[in-house]
Amino acid sequence: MSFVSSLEKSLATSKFTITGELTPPKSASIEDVLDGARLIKNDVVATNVTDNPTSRVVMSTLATCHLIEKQTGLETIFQITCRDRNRLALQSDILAANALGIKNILVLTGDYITMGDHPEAKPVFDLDSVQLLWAIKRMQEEGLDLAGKKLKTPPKVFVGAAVNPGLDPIEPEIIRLEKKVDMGAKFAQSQCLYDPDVLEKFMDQISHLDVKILVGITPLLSAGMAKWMIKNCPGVIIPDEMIKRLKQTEDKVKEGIKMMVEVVSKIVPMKVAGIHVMVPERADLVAEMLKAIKASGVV
Amino acid sequence: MIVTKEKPLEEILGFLTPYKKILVVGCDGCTTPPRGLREAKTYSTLVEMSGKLNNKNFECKATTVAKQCDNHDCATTLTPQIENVDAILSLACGVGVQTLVEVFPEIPIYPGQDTIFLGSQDRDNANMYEKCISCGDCILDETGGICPRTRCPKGLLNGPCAGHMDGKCEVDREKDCAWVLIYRRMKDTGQLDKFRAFRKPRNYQISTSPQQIVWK
Amino acid sequence: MRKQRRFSFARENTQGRKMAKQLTEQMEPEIGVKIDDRYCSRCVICSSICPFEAISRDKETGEINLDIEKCQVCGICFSACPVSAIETLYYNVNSLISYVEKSMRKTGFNRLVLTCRGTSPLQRKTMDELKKSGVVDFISLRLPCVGRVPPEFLLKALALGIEKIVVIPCEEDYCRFEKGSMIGTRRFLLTQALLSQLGFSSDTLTVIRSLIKANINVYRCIGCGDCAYACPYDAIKIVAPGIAQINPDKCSGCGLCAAVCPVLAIELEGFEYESISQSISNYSSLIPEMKSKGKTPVILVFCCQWSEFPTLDKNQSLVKENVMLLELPCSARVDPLHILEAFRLGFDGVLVAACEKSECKLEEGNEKAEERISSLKKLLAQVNLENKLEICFTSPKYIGELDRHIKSFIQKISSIPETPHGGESEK
Repeated sequence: MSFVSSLEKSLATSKFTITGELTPPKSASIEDVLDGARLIKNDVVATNVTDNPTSRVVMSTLATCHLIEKQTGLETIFQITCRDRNRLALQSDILAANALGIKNILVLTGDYITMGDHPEAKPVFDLDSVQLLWAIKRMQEEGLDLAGKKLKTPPKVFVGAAVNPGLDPIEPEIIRLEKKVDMGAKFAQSQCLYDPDVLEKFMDQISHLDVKILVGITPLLSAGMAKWMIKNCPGVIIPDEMIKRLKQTEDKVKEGIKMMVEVVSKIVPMKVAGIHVMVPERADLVAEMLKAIKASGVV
Repeated sequence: MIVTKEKPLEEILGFLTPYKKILVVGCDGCTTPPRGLREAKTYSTLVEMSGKLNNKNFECKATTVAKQCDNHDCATTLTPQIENVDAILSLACGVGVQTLVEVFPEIPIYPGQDTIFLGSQDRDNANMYEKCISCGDCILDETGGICPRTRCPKGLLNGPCAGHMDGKCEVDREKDCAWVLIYRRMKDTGQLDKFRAFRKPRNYQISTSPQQIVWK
Repeated sequence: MRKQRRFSFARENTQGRKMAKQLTEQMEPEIGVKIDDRYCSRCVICSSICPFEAISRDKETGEINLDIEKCQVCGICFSACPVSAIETLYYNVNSLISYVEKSMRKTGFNRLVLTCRGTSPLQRKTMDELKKSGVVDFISLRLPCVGRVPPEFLLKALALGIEKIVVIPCEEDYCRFEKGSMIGTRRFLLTQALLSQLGFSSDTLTVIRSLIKANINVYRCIGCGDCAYACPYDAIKIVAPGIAQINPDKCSGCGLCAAVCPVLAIELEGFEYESISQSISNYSSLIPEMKSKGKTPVILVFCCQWSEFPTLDKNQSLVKENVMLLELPCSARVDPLHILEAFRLGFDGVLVAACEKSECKLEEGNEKAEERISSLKKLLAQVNLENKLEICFTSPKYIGELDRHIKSFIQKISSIPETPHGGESEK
């Protein structure tokens, strides 16, 4: 059986897949992110590269993915959001990504423009994530662009989407995941998870779907961070016990990482395909988290 | 209703400075709140007083038109009043201002309002809510009568995104997530299958500006 | 607690008034109605007749007590007390008779017209009605409520030489003091019967009921519905596109609708937009003279006619040399356009006097006025005038309250530097 990428292969054949996340630099030089890539390279199958995350301008994902792959050999997942490009530019980027050898695409709607550093800019959202998945599906399976025009060479990519198991109401999110899977999403990375019960319930609700779930893992670095996330991040549910432990301990980062290892050990038996480790802007902490998981032997 | 917001007096004075005799024209038409004779008199007085603060002697007069977007109405009502007028301050929406420009091309016309949206009025809460973006392709039948193009800042058609919290939108936590509202409504009315349906991307071509239709 | 000094509140006792004023600045405010326990017969007529349940009988001592907080100074108890044990600062019989006497001497008229504030703005409407019944050349006496007039006043007036008395009370449903109109009218009709028995002609005493109402000019109305929503009596409906209609049975003449209408399509009888503008314009023509005499800042006070009861010579005692007073049926009638006009014509400050929070006679008109003033201040901030407009809340039950508000307002705006904002009185 042939696989488009190492990520696809790992998800199909191995018991547990780990992915990481890197933020492109706010810089014209790729050097500023390569160290991070090297740090996590050996502990992940592939890494996400975010797309103007939280609507802040950084180097484009396309270039970042390509240069990381070329200069470090680390496989990337091209995160593509609908916020900054219309359907023409999005399709161009998929074709370009393929041409540059990038194989994994993660399709997202994107944070709204006012969250970032250019709040007065025009938000595009010409397509939403489901429509973009549909466009990619058409390109791959029918060899046509959205206008129905034939592509000389269709792309061949491994496509995924995002999901948030902690949302309330959860039903629309499940319906949306169904639509995404319908439109060709093969894997889904989740919002960061802290309460295994939430995941268990969710896995139950999506048992009818043929999609690989990678659970988002973000270590809490302080009680303050936990409280901030509960207030500002939809779907993030953090047990009080965790916040208490963070308050009581001296080395919070260590405790945060330790707690996530415990969470990972609990979710392994839940038929998840793996985990996705992310800490915005902190490739060093991603590396530490990965090392801790490896050392613990839970996977 | 077309909802408008008053421009700051400072800005208005900025463009009226070169003139002396100003006709302040209100509109009794569809703006909310109405910008009729009362508003015209208010601004007429304020501009004069503001002028004095800046050593300018404006001579303002207030009047009104039934509908400033109706060029016939404008011509018949205002022609007797524009002799010796140096400039007009219009309190209508952007449509009214531009209609006046067409009817009286020789007189400088200035906007006293910013036109902000098409909306409904909730008197009890003294609020105006944007409800329609005049996309030209109404899908209210598919979304339980709640417009996602207008009420979802991202204009999603296969929403909600994962940013809603307690049913509120990630962009403005004071506002409801339109798609959660749609979901609830479709569920309550047994139309969840419509909610599940995949909606194709919006056709922007039909609303290319400036639009025009034939009206008899 | 200091013993309350007993003052005779008769109008001619200027000495007493001066002392009252001085003392009000030092002691608790003097109140407008008092029950004198020395004369009280404990008949409890006052208690049962008080529309506001402000008078009660102490269970143990049997003493009759007035709760000034609930009192609305309508004067009904004063006129009902059979032993004259109730004193009121305002318009008691002696002061009224003295006024009539003085007026007779001055004008030579022998007709008296007694009106309630609720029915008679100081302008044409009353005049027109009276002219219709052939009454011209009369002495006009305008009281807060005719319910406060005891029969003995009418008899004393006739004894003075008055030949014809016309009383114009409000319609019963619209009496601002709930029962004042009903009680007063009953009393007048009984007096009428008494007079005819005594041999007076039947037209010696006439009672005409009246009320001011709002009217909508349907040719200007755009049917926006603002008036219908704002009316606290639910008296306005949009009956057809572009046509709002007032139900005269429900309209109470507060004027709120006139002040909100965006196309100025509503007029309140006697308080028409143009006539108020004219009054303001007339007042403003006095400004240059006042300023040349050093009487500055010049203030215009829009005063709710229920919020205070000046003594009859109000233009002397209440209106200080640099204050001009414009009465309105309710503070809800205060029109932002008139306030803007006042500033444009040269007034240094505008004060709106509304009734105390819980005492609005016209359904929270004072609250609406407060909201309107607060919005207007934001607009006025753009021309540096937001501190020259104020709303104060006052009640006739405490003597001199409005005086105090005016004084402190004048003090406040005197300390703000003057900025040119218009007015022909500018140098």
